[in-house]
Amino acid sequence: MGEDMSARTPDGQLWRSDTLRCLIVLFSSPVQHREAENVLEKAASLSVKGHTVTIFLLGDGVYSASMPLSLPGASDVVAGFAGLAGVNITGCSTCAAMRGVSTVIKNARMGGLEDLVEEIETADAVFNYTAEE
Amino acid sequence: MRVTVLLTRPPLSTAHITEAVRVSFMTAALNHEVDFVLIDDGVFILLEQREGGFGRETLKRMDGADSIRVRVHEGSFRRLVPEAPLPAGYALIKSDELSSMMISSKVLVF
Repeated sequence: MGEDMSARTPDGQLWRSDTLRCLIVLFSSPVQHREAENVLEKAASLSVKGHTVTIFLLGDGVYSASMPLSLPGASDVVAGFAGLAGVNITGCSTCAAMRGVSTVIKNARMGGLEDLVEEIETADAVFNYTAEE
Repeated sequence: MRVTVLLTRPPLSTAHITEAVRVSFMTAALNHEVDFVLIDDGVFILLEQREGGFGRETLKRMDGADSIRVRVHEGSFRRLVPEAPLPAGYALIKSDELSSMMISSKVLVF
């Protein structure tokens, strides 16, 4: 017996009529680990599918919003974050201050942990990219 | 809201505990419930015996927050630090209980 294909989109993806609020927590540096690149791809993919996506940058994750790192010749991953449309990017201001990240890409803002808690509260799904040291 | 914070890393070699604790305190301060779970290498914090040590002092501060409960994953504890003293008030939690907790809460992993 074949499965009911009406539950899938024409390209074979599972169909969801509803959209989710997705929170992605990124904890590692974009110039040292692959997690930031994975976050970039996941965020773009979720956003294209119509989901609401927020990326919260914590710890070394704040480097992904660093304006200097987004410039040509610096980090392609951070440049990717700077070009990420339709995704909310918020960084931990304390983490940024401790790391000297003072200028951030235009589509990001700095916030506090209370913003993270608020995002957790409203998120339907939380993705943790916090494993790498 | 209930939030489960999993600490998977040892206390002295990474910043994971710092951020896990900061987030837990903020979550509790905003009137949410936090289950702070030591799991995998996170249980190594229990080996820190020295008074005034970073990990030990961090956990002590968490003791003062009513809406934060510290739990220790039993499998990790038995496997990695079976001789470590379990501080009073720190309940062991089995994998099936932890699974139920994670399903019914928002989960952060550090």
